Amino acid sequence: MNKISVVVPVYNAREYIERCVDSLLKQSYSNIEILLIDNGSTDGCAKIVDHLACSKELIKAYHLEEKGVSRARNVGINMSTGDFIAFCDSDDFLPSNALEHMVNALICQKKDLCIGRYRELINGCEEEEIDPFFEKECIGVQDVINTIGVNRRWNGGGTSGISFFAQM
Amino acid sequence: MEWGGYVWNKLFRSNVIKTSPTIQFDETMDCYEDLKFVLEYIKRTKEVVKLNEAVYVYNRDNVQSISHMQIDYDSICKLKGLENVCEMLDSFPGGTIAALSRKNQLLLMCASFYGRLIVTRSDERSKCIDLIKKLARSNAYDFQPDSSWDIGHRMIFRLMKIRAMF
Repeated sequence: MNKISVVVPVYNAREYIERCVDSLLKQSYSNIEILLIDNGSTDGCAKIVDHLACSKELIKAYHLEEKGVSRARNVGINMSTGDFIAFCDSDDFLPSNALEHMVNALICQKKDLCIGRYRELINGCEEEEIDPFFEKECIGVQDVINTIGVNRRWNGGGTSGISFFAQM
Repeated sequence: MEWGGYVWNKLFRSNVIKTSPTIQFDETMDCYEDLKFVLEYIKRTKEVVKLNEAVYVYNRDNVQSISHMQIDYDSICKLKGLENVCEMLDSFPGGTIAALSRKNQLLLMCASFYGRLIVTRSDERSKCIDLIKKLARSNAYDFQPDSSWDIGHRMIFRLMKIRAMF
């Protein structure tokens, strides 16, 4: 009951994949499975993925020959056996209570979608932006639609990144 | 800051995804496929819960990550993604971003691309310019940048006009 499948598309993340998986293994919510979907990595991280999958039963690995994040996530969804699905990119990671917070909120409030804040790792430091979106007591579907694509950064280059949609 | 379109700061219900054939990642898209996925999911969502805790750490230090692909390839797939996403936003009743300013945003995007293209070299460049033209043509007719444009984008837009992009 209430198992979370975490789908992780992996592409050339040799330096980061272990930190990512480690953050998933250290979650305070332990009823999870981790689906590592390597898609055409050329940096040797496919081996790390297999090694990780051998080390723990809850980690499963799958290899795709070609690069493609959409295909990788779809494969992960199809492999998943959980009641809930979360996504994590292979160079990122989760705070230790993230899944517990999200699953409790979804279950207690009987909602279909949980959305949380995030921090950005910049020069090794975690930074979090304050946003009016999270100041609201309750948010609805329309609120989410209104922030989709707003000020998406293009290049990870801080303020030099050009946004997709400008802030309304 | 964007909250709505990413998939990694969210938790989804498996049965909602698996019982709807349209909720999947579009494999013809390499950019903004997450945005489209969230929009499809939200179509079948009545209620949303928001958390005040951070549930994700996004690594901006990795210069090789998926979202930092080569500029020219990136530009083309982003324009394709933009076409897809604008169509989807239009299909939402009351989708305010789309309804109020799609044209403006679209051209801001084109100006951004053009601004990047003039400082890069690639075989993909002409393909990308064709796409920009196609996107811009139907929208640029009577267009004037509004106050959401910064001075840089205004200048690039003027440059685009001067070079007869439209």
